[in-house]
Amino acid sequence: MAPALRMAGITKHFNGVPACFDVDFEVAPGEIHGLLGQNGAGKSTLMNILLGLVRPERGEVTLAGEPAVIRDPNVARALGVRMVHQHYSLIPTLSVWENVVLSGEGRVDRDRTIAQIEEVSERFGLEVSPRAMVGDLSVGEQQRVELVTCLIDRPRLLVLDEPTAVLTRQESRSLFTMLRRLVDQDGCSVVLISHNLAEITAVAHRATVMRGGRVVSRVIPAETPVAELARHMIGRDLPGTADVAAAIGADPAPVAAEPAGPAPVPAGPGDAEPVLRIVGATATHEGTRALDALDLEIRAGEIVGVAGVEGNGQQWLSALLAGSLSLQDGEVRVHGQRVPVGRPGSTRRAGVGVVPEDRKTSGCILDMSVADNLALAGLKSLSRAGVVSRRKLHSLAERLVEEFDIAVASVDQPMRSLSGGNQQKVVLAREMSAGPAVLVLAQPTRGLDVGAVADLHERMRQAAAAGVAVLLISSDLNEIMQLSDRIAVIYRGRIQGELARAEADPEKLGLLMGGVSA
Amino acid sequence: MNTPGASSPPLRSPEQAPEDPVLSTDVSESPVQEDATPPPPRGGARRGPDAAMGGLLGSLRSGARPATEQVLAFLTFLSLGIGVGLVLGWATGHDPGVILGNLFEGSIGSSISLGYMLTAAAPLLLVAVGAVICMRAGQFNIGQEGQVTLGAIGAGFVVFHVDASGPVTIVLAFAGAALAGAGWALLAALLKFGRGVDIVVSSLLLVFLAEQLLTALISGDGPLHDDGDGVLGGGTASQSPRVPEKAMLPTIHILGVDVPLAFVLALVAAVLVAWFLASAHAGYRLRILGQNPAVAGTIGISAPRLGSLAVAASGAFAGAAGAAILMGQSFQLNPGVSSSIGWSGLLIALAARTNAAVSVLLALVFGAMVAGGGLLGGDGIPVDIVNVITAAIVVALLCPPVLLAAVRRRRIRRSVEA
Repeated sequence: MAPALRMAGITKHFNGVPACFDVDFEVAPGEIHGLLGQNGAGKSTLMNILLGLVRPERGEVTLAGEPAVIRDPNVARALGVRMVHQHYSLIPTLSVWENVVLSGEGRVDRDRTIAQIEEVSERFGLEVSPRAMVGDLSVGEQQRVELVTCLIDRPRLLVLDEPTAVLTRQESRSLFTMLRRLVDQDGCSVVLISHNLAEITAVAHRATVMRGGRVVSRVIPAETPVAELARHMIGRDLPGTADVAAAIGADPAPVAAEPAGPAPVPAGPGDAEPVLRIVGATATHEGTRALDALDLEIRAGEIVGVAGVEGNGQQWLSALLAGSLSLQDGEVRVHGQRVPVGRPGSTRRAGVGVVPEDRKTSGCILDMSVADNLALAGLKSLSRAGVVSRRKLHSLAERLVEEFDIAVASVDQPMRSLSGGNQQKVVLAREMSAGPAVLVLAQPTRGLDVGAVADLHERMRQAAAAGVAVLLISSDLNEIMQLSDRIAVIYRGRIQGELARAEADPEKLGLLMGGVSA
Repeated sequence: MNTPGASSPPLRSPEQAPEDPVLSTDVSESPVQEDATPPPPRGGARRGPDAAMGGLLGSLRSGARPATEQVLAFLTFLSLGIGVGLVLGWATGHDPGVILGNLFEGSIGSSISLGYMLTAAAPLLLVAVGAVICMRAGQFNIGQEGQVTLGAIGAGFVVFHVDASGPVTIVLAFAGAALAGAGWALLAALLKFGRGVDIVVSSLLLVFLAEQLLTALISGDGPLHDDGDGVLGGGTASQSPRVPEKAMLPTIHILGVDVPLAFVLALVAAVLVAWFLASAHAGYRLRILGQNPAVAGTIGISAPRLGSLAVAASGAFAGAAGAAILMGQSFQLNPGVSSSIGWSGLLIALAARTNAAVSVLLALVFGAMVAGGGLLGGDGIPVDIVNVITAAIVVALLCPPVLLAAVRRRRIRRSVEA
C-alpha cells in the first residue's frame, strides 16, 4: 500500500541557513509517527511545508500515492491534512461551536455544527461542551476543541505539535488513548511532534529523528533504547571540555582543573552559601504551568547553565529573576534574604542583573538614546534634587561605551539604530555596571556574530572570576558546555536534573531534556 | 500563524511604529520562523534610501531632533494644511482670499483679535499639555472632555459658593478644578489598574457621565442652578448664575496686547512640563514607562502607581482648562460649557506627537481658527469652513509620517523577500 504521506528531497533555506535539507519523510497509513528533534532541527519547517504555510525550494509531497501541490492551508485541508498547532488558534470570547464553525466553510448552521461536535466527541471520547465559552475552558479542554475541529473533517493525516507540553499526565494519557482509537478505527495517520522521549517510545509506531535540518535516523521507538534516541537527537558533536578550551583559545589548565575542585573561583563550589537560591518556585501564567517546583542554587563565581528544549519554562525563570513573575509557591533568596518577587524592581534591588532573551522588547528602550539606555537602572544616582544630571549621565555612558567596546557614533544615538550585537552589549554593560551579585543571561548570543559571541563569553567568564554568580539560560548546548561549571536541565518548568560539566554527555543531556531522569 | 495576543496598544502614534530600520533583515519576527534558524548577521549598511527615510521620519519624531527642525516641519505642514483647507473652501464656492483675510483679521489682525486668540488657545493648551503627560507615560486617557467638564464644575463650586476676595477665589477655583479633573481621570485609572478595564474605553465613557453630572448640578434644585434672582423667565433654564466680576480672569498688558492670565498659566505649564519630561528623574521614569513597560518593571517602576499619577496629572490640567473656560470665556455653566475643548486639546497633543513645544504652536493655530472663524459669518461664509481647515491642518501634520512609515514598511518587506 502507498504510504499515507511521502515527502521527498524537501529543501528550504531561511536567509541562506538551511532549515530543511534534502529531507525524506514517510508516514504509513494508520500509524502514529513520531517526529523528534531539538529546536531548530527543522521539524516545524517540515510540517509548515506540509500544511502549505511555507513553500519549499525543492522537493515533492505525495499523499496516498498522489502527488500534491499544497499552496496554502486550505488546500491541505481539502486534501485531508490537519494540524493542531502548539499555540491554539481559538477565539476565547466565542463559544466552542462558534470556534468550530469559524474553521469550516459554507453557511453557519448552529444545530448541525453542535450535532457534529457531539458525534465526534462521542466517537473519540473527547469531552467537549459545544456551548461552553472557550475562554472558560482549561488548556486541556481547549486542545480537545482544536482536535474536534480537525476531526470533524475526517482528516487522513493529523499533525500534532508538542500536544502534551501543556497537559497534565492524566490528560496526556487520554489524548494518547484517543489517538490510538483514531488510527485503529479510522485509519487516520498521525504525526506526533515531540521531544518527550518516553512519550514517543510509548505511543509512536515509528519515529524520524531530525537534527540541524536533516533526518539523522529512522527508528522503531519500541525497539530502540531511549538513550540511543537521546543521542540521535543531541548528536555526538558536543564539544568536550578540553576541545572547548582549545577552540576558544583559553588557558586549558584551569578549565581542566575545574572538576577537581577550587580553580580560579574565589569560593569553591560546594562549600559556600549559595548567592542565589530558588526553592520550589511554582507559578502559572494565564492558566498554564510556567514553573513547577523549580529548585536552583548558584554560588559566587560559578557559571550555571540552564539547558533544555525551548518552551520548558526558560522564559519564566528569566522573568522570575527579572522580578516580573510572582510565585504561587516557593521563594527566591539572594544572599539568604528573601526577595519579594513579582514586585517591580524587587530582584534588581536584591542585586540580580538580567540580560533578557528578547532585548528589544524587555531589555532596552529602542526610542531612547544609547546614553539613556545605559543609565536606565541608575538614574537615581545620577540625579540631584530630582533632576537628572546630563553631565553625569553622559560621562557614565562614555565610560561604559569605552569599557564594553560598544560601536556607536555618539552616545546620543537612538538605541534603535544600533546593530543587535551592540544593543546586546549596551544591555550587558548596564547590567554589569550595576555590580550585581547574580547575573542572569537568557539566550545571550542569539543573533550575534562570531566575534560578538566570543567577546560576550569572555565577559561572562570575567564576571564569574570576579565573584558574580552567573546563570546562563540557553538552548545552545555548545554554549552551555563551553561556559558552565554545572548544567541544570529544565523540563516543563522544573529542573529535571543537574550535571557537573565533566559528567555531561549528549546521552545524559538528551535524556534529561526529554523528561527522563538520568 | 502570528503570535496570538501580540496586539499593539490602541492609539499608537506613528513614530512609535515598531519598525526597525537597521535590523530590517531580522527574520526572527517573520511568521514562519518557528523552528528558530539563526538570524542572519546584522548591522552593516546604515546608509541608503531606507536610512534616509528613517532620518526624515526621525526629524518628525518627538524629541528626536532640535526644536528648530521640528518648528520648520510644523510650519511647512501647517501652510500645506491651510492651503488644502482653502482649496476645499474654494471648491464649495467661497473666495479663499476672503476666508484667509477674515481668519487673519480675527486672530492676529489687531491687538484685540490677538487677545481673543490667546483666550481661545489657553484652555486648549492646558488640555494638550495634560494629554502630553499621560500619552508619554503610555496611558491613553482620552476623556479630557469629561475632565474639562468636571474642572468647570469644581471651579463653579468655588466661584458660586466660596466667599473670598477675587485673587483667592481664582486660586481656589483653579485648585478645585484641578482636583475635580484629576479625580475624574483617576476613576478611569483605578478601573484600569484595579479591574483591567481599558482606559481608552473608561475615560471615554466617563465623558458622557460628566455631562449628565453637570446637567444635574445646574438644573432644578442643583447646587449650581441659577435661581434667576427674580428676572423674568429666570430660574427655568439649565444653567448656573453668571460668574461675579471679581472672579473673572484678569489680563496682563504685554506689548500692547491684553494677554489673558489663563494663557500665561498655560504657557508656563507647557514649559514646565516640557522641562519635567526631558530632565526630571520622575519625567524619565514616566517616559520609560510609556516607552517600554516591561523594562520599567525591571527597574522598579510600578505601572499602576506611576501610570495613575500620570493620568491624574492629565486630568488635573484638563480640569484647570475647565476653570479657565468658566472664568475666562463662558462666565457661566451651561450643558455645553466644555464646548469640545477637551477633544480639540487631545487632538492638539496627538497631532503635536506628544511634544509640549509643538503643542503650544498648534494650540495657537487652533485658537486662531476659533477667533478668526467668528468673523466669517459676517461675509456669509459658513463657520464650518473653519472646521474643514482645522481638519486639513491636522491631516497635513499627521499624514507625512504615516505615509513615510508605510513606504518604509513596504521597502522592508521587499528587502526581506529579496
